[in-house]
Amino acid sequence: MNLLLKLASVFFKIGLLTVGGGLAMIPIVQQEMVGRGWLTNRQFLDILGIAQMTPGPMSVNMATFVGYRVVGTEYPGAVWLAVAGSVVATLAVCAPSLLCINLLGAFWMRNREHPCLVSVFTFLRPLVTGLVIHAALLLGVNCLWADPVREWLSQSPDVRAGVLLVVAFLLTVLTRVSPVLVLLGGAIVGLLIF
Amino acid sequence: MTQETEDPRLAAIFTSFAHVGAFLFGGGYAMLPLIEREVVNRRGWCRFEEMADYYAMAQLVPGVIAVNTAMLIGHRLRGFRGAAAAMLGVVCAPFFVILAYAVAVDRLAGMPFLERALAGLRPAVAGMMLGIAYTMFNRTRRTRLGLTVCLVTTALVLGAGVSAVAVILLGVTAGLVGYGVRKGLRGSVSDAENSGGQP
Repeated sequence: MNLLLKLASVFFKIGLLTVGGGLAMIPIVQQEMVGRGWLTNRQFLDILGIAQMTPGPMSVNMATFVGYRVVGTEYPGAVWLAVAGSVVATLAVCAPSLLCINLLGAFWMRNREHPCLVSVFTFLRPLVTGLVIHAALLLGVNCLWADPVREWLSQSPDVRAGVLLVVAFLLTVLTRVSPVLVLLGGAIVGLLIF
Repeated sequence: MTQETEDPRLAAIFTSFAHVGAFLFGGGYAMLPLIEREVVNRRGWCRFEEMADYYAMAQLVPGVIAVNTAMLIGHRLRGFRGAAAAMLGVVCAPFFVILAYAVAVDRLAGMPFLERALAGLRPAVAGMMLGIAYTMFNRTRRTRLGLTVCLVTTALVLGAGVSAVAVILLGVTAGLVGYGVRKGLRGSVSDAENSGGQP
């Protein structure tokens, strides 16, 4: 049961430390998951794509998936234990906000325009941009080379992945195509060309 | 009777937000039209302007914006139990979808069609993330403070391997110190009026 406690504490921490939601969570979740060896960078990309194509916030999806996977890998065959892992992780990632909202709901409502909070957020917003840039670069490099650390100087990148990456980038920046369509398109093209 | 608006049942809060959660693609802003339709128009639990307030507040509370917004509305309706019902509701459908995927991916591991689809999905996700990073950077670099903080953050995380959590705590500290300095320079009474309206 140590593993369930570990899952709960890691996802509680993720829920507690991610302010600004969605994208702001990606770098933190990435560091926690990959750093612990719970997911590889590739698996992280996979679940990120799946999370975008299925309903629900990314970090909740991530918690559900990782909870199942980590427990399932540790205790193969124990399906119900793995399901318990995903329940624990999912609830843990939501728990900090539930506590904060009950403790601070009224306080936030009264003080959200207070200069002190405003000042903190003028720093946090660009900071989040920096974190997202880092996460995006890391993800990009990881889909162009199987082992970027060793290969990025010596070997040429995967051209097919590179083209897909550039197309997805341009679609996101230049058009208002829904992300669901971009990702679905990526999966379908992947089926055809890889 | 106005029982529905005065004191909605927990089950009603749960099903309403389960409905929102089931159609919540892409998170964040995508949630607003769903909440408007279900909570404002259909149930009449809060007004449209109120919804925007909750949404703004949800970004200041730690956690997922969509879940926070749901919990804030639930909290207003029925206190702690309302917030818990809203949270379970909004998480319900996504939970079962991903659980099904997690079970299936274990069974299907190594199936070539899944591998090929994922091989195409990965660069699509990375390209989309780069696109979002680019858009965010364009918005951030408009102010000198924004540009500096953004570049310093990228350098710290990318170059020095500082953890994201540490950088965020550093940012909170910088914000507090910045506020303290400004307050010290200007005097405290007029400060609230001067900088309270910043975006």
